[in-house]
Amino acid sequence: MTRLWGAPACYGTALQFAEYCRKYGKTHEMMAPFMENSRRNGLMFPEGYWAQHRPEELTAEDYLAARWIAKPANLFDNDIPIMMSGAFLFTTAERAQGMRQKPVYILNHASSNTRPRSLTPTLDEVEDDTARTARKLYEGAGITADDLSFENMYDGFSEFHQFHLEGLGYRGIKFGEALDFYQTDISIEGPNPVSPSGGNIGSGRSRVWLHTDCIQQLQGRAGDRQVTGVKPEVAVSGGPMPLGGNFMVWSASPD
Amino acid sequence: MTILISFDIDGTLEVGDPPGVLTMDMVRLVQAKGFLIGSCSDRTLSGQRAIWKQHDIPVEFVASKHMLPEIKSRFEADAYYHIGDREDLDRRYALEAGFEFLWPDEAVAHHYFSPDGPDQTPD
Repeated sequence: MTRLWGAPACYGTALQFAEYCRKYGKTHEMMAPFMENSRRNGLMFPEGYWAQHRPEELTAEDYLAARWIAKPANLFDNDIPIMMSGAFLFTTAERAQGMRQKPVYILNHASSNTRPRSLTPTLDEVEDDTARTARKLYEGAGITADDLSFENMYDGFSEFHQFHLEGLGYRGIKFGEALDFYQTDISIEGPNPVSPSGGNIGSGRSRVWLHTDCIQQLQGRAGDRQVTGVKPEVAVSGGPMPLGGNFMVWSASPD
Repeated sequence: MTILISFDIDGTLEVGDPPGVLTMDMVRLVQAKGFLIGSCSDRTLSGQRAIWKQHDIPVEFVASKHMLPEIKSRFEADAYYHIGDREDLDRRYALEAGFEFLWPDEAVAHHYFSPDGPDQTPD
């Protein structure tokens, strides 16, 4: 028996990504710059798995040579399972003023609990829901996509990160444009940082990197990962899934 | 007579995570005997190259698990072996690619890995 546990967990995302590529004329190879960037950023997250245990870069050749888990999702499109935890201290804005660390403010939070029509959400449902989540986030925070300094949306599996980005309209990208966006400068040194935390691809499977990085970037405590191409003022993080997630808008100031 | 051996890394070689029973000196031994050697792992290709470079062992190939058929087509040999510790990721891929398969503990006991054993005599 070789399929004891059924389909790989990433199969649903792989199906959505396959439909995405078909609909917009994109390819799996176009994911490579995002994967390289995520591992690079993750290697600068001292608590991350790869930084601690296997400080290896992930090149485009490495990524594209990996075996399929559920085509078109390969081994590195799946985040490596790890053991870790994180803790955050929440208090009022007034009390935070007396804390040793510079406070970071939560402008809004939102959830996505949409139930898909079938077992696996379709690409249409994914796009509807990421747009809905973004609208809720922006309306509640009183901001627009133009106010985002950077984003740390969830990426475990890598192939739905671009769904989150497109729903947010990050840097003005529309549905079907994220993989082209990945071919531009998405580094922490550039004007359009993508996943400066490195996310799960860069540090292993958790629900922590994305939020921690937003906080540290806004505090100016992100170390080697500190974004330099933009002034870190407002950030968004959250996930995991496009349908089924919890999302935050963070700010360096309470306004 | 030419024999090719593909080594899995994690759970197979001593430098793997977890470490396996095959030492790098054993790898050097079969290479000195004239075997074609390389690695076939879920580690990145660049990561595999770094391991071999770190141990100063020049290999003929590095590959991902599903690339064994390509390795077989690239190198002409009289016998092809893959050594690994996983039923699903090593033995199955090896047999599907037409390789002989050895578990790590079988390999260390094999005459190939004995300093006194014959050089390249297939089983």
